Amino acid sequence: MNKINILVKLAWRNIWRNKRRTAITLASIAFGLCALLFQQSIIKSLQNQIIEKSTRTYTGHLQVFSKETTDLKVPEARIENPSPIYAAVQTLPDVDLWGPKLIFTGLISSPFTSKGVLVVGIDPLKEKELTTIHSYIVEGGYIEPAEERSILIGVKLAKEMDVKLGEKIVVMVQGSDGSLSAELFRLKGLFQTGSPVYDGQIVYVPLSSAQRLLVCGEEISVISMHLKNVEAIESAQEKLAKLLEREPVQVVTWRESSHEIVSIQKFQDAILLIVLVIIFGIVALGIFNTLLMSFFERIREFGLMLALGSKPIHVATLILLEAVFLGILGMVLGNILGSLLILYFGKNGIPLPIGDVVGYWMPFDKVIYLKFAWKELIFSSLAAVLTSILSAIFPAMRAARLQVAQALRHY
Amino acid sequence: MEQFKFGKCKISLSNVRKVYESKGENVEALRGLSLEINPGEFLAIAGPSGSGKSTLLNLLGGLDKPTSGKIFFGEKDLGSLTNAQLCVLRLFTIGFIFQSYNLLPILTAVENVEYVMLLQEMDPVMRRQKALEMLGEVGLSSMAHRRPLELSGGQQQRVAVARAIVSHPLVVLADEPTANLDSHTATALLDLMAHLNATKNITFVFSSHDPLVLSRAKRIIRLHDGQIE
Ligand SMILES: Nc1ncnc2c1ncn2[C@@H]1O[C@H](COP(=O)(O)OP(=O)(O)OP(=O)(O)O)[C@@H](O)[C@H]1O
Ligand SMILES: [Mg+2]
Repeated sequence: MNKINILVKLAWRNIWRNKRRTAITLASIAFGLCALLFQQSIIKSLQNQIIEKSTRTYTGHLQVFSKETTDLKVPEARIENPSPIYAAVQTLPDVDLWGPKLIFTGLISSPFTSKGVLVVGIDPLKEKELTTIHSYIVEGGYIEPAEERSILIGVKLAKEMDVKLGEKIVVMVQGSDGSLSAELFRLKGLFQTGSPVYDGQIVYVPLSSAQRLLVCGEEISVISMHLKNVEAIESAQEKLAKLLEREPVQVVTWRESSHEIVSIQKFQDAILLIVLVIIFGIVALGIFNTLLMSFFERIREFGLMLALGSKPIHVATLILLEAVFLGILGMVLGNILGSLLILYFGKNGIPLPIGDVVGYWMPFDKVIYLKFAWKELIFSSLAAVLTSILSAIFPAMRAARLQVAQALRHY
Repeated sequence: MEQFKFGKCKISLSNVRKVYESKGENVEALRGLSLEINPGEFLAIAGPSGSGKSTLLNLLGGLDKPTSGKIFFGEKDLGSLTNAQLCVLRLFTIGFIFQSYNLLPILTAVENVEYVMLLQEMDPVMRRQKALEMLGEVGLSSMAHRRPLELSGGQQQRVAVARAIVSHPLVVLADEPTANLDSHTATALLDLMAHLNATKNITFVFSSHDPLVLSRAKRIIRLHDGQIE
């Protein structure tokens, strides 16, 4: 115990012997780590923002589809009897908000032209809570509960169709009985999300009108849910699946329905790991060089320690402890620098062109507000300390193998 | 921890040879040396540069192993000890004073003296007290908390002397302890060593080629080309 104490004391004093060298080493660890934390925060904040947007504009956290549905974007099969599912969803305490949708492809016509679109039948009240689509309305208003004939379309689509607020729009579709059916709507509101897919290809109508149009009774395509706690998504999925055991339905998470987001995420995570390895590879070379230099400078001193009766393991431990101190100090500094950056850009936001790319598929902000990526932060911080320790292994082993008499001849 | 208790015993070398191999060439630094050192001796090893003084002291101190021949501390053959055992032997039975850079530069004078006792796992309060006492004996009480760089060469050597004798070793080995000192400081250091030798009955073996220093020794072994003259 005593010996560890003195080694800790020696190690601490040793790293301050060459202040400039220590400062440079610490800076290299700190800047490396800071850059990494910053980058991880950007990617993770972006991912969270994408998930948030995706679950808040369309999918929700959990969705219930018919068992036969394979295309989770445009469900081809319908849930024939949704009442027991509504009941089950309402009994589940994990569920915060929920709403049904009927989704199908159809044709909309204005006096001038027609276009193929995705028609989404919504329960106006429930959808207003569940998703944010109402917040993107730039002209007119949202569908009120009693309005059977209101339709919402995107600004882009409206321009293409050359229709204005209050004008007539006919939605045509092949009903479930094979007949062609059509309904007349009036343009109630125009939304602008910035996503060409939303603004140009999706229209919203009341669920009841959609059901009448399809001649499908109470049938719906999907029930989406927003959970109180996203972390518990798997357990909520399990519980709901259990409740609905006897119904011909499937319960999926947003991960399953938005697999392209998940695969982007995996790709980004892989890149983060590669960057981490590269940064710490460079940092490791720097630390290794420092430790090796300081080892060669102190061979005589190590010889003296050994002559006085220190064990080789003490000398090796001393070098490792020095590396631990460098690693921890660099880690703390890096965290401070990184946190300052993240806090600053968490408040002020970073404009990122990547928003445009994602924004093609769904509404997306052009500014990212950074948040701490705690898991990655802890992982990288440990990696910084570990890198430092690993760099010390070779010098430590050399120190442990020193020949006393020869080491004493070094001046 | 395995201790080596030798009490006051004789140190003997019989037919010790040391051959260094460097770049394929063999250098015979000691050529069959036999020698007995009695407890309490104040012994000087003299000889020109390259005669093998340091080699001899290294072997005596268990810092290196002889190529052939035997070194005994009492009945114990050093050749039978492992490196780890030699380490313990150095810790408990031998005090070292080198020519220069004797002290760990990041420890204060008193911490340097304490270092050996710390490795011996002595109680912290006691070792601090003993270290301060020892520094008093070598006349450095007021400098106990200075770092080596803040001490003169002679003061540094005194600290080394204090460290070497603080745990009452069987023998103190000093390889040219005065080589970096002026003659006045050198004489004072020798006086100190002689005093400690007399009062504490600790064996001192030191090397030098300075006649003034050698004149203080009670016995002188003269080396020439790895042999006793
Ligand atoms: N590690 C070594 N490798 C090779 N040769 C060595 C080594 N150590 C010492 N020698 C050689 O052994 C011989 C004796 O060296 P040693 O250092 O014991 O002499 P010395 O009497 O202490 O000399 P000095 O007064 O210069 O210190 C010399 O010829 C030296 O070159
Ligand atoms: Mg020598």
